[in-house]
Amino acid sequence: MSKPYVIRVSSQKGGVGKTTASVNLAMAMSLAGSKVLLIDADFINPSVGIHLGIEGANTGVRAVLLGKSTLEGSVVRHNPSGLDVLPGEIVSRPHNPTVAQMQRLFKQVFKSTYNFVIMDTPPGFFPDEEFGNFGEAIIVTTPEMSSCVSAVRLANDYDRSHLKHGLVVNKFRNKGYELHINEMEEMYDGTILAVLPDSEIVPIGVSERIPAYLMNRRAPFSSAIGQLAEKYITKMGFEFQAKKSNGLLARIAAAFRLLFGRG
Amino acid sequence: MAQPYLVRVSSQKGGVGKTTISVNLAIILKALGYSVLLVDDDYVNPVVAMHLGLEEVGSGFRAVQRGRTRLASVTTIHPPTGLHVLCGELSQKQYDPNPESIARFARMLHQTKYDFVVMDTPPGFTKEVFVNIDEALIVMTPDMQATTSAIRSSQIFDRYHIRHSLVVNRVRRRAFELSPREIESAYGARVEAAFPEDDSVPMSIAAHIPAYLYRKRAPFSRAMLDFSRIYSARGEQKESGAGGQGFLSRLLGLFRRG
Repeated sequence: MSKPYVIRVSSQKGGVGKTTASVNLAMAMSLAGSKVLLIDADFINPSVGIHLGIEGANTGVRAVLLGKSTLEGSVVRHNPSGLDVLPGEIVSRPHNPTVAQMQRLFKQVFKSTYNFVIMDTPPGFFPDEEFGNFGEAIIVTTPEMSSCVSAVRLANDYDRSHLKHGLVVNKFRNKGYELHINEMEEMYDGTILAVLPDSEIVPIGVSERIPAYLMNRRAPFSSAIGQLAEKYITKMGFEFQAKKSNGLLARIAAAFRLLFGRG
Repeated sequence: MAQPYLVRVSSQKGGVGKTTISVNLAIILKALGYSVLLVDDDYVNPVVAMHLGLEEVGSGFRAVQRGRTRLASVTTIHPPTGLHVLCGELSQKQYDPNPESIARFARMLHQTKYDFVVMDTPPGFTKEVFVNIDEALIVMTPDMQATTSAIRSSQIFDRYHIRHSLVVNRVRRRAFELSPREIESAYGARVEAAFPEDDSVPMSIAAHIPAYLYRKRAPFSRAMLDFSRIYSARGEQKESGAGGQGFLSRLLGLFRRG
């Protein structure tokens, strides 16, 4: 059995959409048939729980870090999607885990049977010692200068630590004052994995506690997330189970099956 | 001599607009006739210079903070406005702020001749950063994630008796947003200002000109001006030693501008 593939979702600048990307990517992978664990390792501002409507869990990543609980004992199942989540605890004092504590978490992660582990991280830095545990890193950026400059800086850090990385552009509006995709590609000097359009279904999803991908899989944001999920799943040699369409016809058919008890 | 009013613009959550608010508050206070120093203390992502279109030079920020260089020798002047700026310095690794040097730095800032010192702060601060300052200005966006982080910040500030106030940025007045009233009831105090979501802000940043100078009549600039006028009274109160910030003193602040 192979070890889970751990993807670190990161950025130096805050507010670019790390949590949005993490939550929706994990959801899309899970709905496509992979076994996925989403870890909220943003110790500064944990908000995966808010996105998924599972805030208030009494255990989470901190308990595992401190050795007070096991990974299995702290994972929460997001019922609508079957995604497993290790939530972050909201505490009044942010806590930076030590390298030894992170190793304790990774040890349990690598013993688990997940195909993918998506780790949401705080803005800023992580000790280099931990980079060896990640299969790769996603750098999230918005199409503006300040956030791209910090993305390039982070990419340099990863290069120095020999960690593979790819760029995800979020909140893309295709406006004149934004950076163009080509400009970002040139600055970053690497692959752009996905371009996620700016879309109101994201904030609406957060306010409803239903991730955008789950709310509407046909929205442009969701299809971009779906393609990213497919890239990862096929790259790792798993099968991408395209969900039955949830279009009008399929829904009518489902209603008929329900009504007449067929199939 | 009166001491400057030291405000740290802060939030636990990133990307809410700390730098935008810091830069424009400083620019407007300067335009209202105060002498202002803008300090970029965001060592994770220092972008004040980028917002102002200043040449990025090795700023010497850390040297000043450690007391090895004089502040005046590393301050840059923003040519269009004459605003004094201490540009940020990037720390390659997780910068571990030494509480003693932070406290000394704040004391040193208090001994300057400025009316206001506005400091931009990285997301995810610790309480040590707030030693010897007059106020923490919390910036948030009208969503749940930013609200919980603002409440968390306010709890930290309350515990250490740090004066704090709250402004909401990027308000679109949409149904899925939290309303200022909801935010107030969650935060337990008044929301001092609501700045509208406005395309002139990203446009101004792309042009390296602060939004207030880029389009004075844009909704964001107007709201920022109104807020800064009221805000300017705080420096005056400190000077006169007056306590509260009642209606009269705020009115007085309005007349003192210019």
